[in-house]
Amino acid sequence: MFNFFSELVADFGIEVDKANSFNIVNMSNKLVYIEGQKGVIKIGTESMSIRVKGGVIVIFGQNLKLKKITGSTVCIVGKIEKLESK
Amino acid sequence: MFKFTISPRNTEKILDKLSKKFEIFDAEKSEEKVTFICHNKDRKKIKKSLKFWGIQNVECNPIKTSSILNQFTSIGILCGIVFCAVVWFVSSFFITDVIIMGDIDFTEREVYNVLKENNIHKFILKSKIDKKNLENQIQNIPYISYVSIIFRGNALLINIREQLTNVEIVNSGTFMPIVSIYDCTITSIKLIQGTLAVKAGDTIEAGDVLVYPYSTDSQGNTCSVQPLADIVADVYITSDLVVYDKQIEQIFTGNVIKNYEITFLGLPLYKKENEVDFLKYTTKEYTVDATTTLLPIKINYKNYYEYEEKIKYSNFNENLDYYIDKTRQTALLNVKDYDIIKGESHVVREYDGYHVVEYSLTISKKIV
Repeated sequence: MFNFFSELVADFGIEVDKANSFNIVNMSNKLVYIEGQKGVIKIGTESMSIRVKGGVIVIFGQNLKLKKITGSTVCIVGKIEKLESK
Repeated sequence: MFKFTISPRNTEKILDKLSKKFEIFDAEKSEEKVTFICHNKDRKKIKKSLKFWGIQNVECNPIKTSSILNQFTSIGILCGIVFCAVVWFVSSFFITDVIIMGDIDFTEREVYNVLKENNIHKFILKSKIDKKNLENQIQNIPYISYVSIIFRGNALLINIREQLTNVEIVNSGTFMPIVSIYDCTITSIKLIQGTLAVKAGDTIEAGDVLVYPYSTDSQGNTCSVQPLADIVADVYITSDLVVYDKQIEQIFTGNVIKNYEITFLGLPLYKKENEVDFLKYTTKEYTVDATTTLLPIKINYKNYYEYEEKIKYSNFNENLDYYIDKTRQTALLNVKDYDIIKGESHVVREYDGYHVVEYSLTISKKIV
């Protein structure tokens, strides 16, 4: 099956440890898609914190909403202002 | 889709746990409440999990969606649809009814016997029915002229047409087509045998072919047959009357000059010939046999009648009703007692020196 992230890794020759990796996509500051999430730390309309393999992703913005969450992915919509990786 | 509203102590932890097992949508946190949406299929499991984790006050409400596809997520409905599809698919291999159509006054029992001999009954596989063989067998039944067997849905449709009495005599030889002898518009056709050359609503002229003397069977073969049909048409019967504006009338004056000649055996014996001084006259000749027992004598008369010519002017408009009625009576001479008059009309045409009255009758007539 086609996987966007796998294609990127193959194109740029990056060595990634799949067991401890995560991927983030920010679409026009309107949607953030995180692959490899390990759990939700904080939910709020102005900030959200998602635990990933090896750290925490904090999303700041306005009217943030947890659009979809599954075992390994999370999709957040709203007006994204800042992304922090800790 | 179902919307859950819960009030857990640790919102994030509960969502985290749920997300490991289920897909969660539109999760929102307001004050101490959390709402999220899940699939129908996960509803019961999520409820169970929340109960297991000790979450109280769980609200679960269905979300109305307009999409029909969402209704198909119910396993029961899906099973029903699949079951129906399977039943429909399987039943399409069987016939569920045998329908015999057509004119079967005398041969219905024989047709059923043929079906019985071939073991054809309801709920038999379509593939077990040899339509062509069955057609041939039914065709062999006396008094059956045409057989067509088709599958229509799950029914076996047998279309039969019986022959006419003595049809083997009627249908031997070469036949002429049925030709119209009227100018007419066809209103109804009942074809008995042959091939129609016209259809209801056609306007035809005298001499046009109505029914060809052949018929075509299901294999496309043509055979010569006596064309027979009942055709009813609107026939147009017309008559016209010419009325001159002025006519020369002969008025006899009463003056007559009679000349005669007596002959014996064709030989003239005596001849009386007065001079004719009439300006206009007409003659009348006749012979009187004056034969006696002995002498064969004949008298040839020739009379001259004087007349005068007088111009008579006719007032057409004053007598129009009379002329129309006179024309109508002429047209009615061509109408039989059993013909149904459907319409009447007349036209008056004016020409230089004369008028023409045309009267038209439309009658419903069995032309064949």
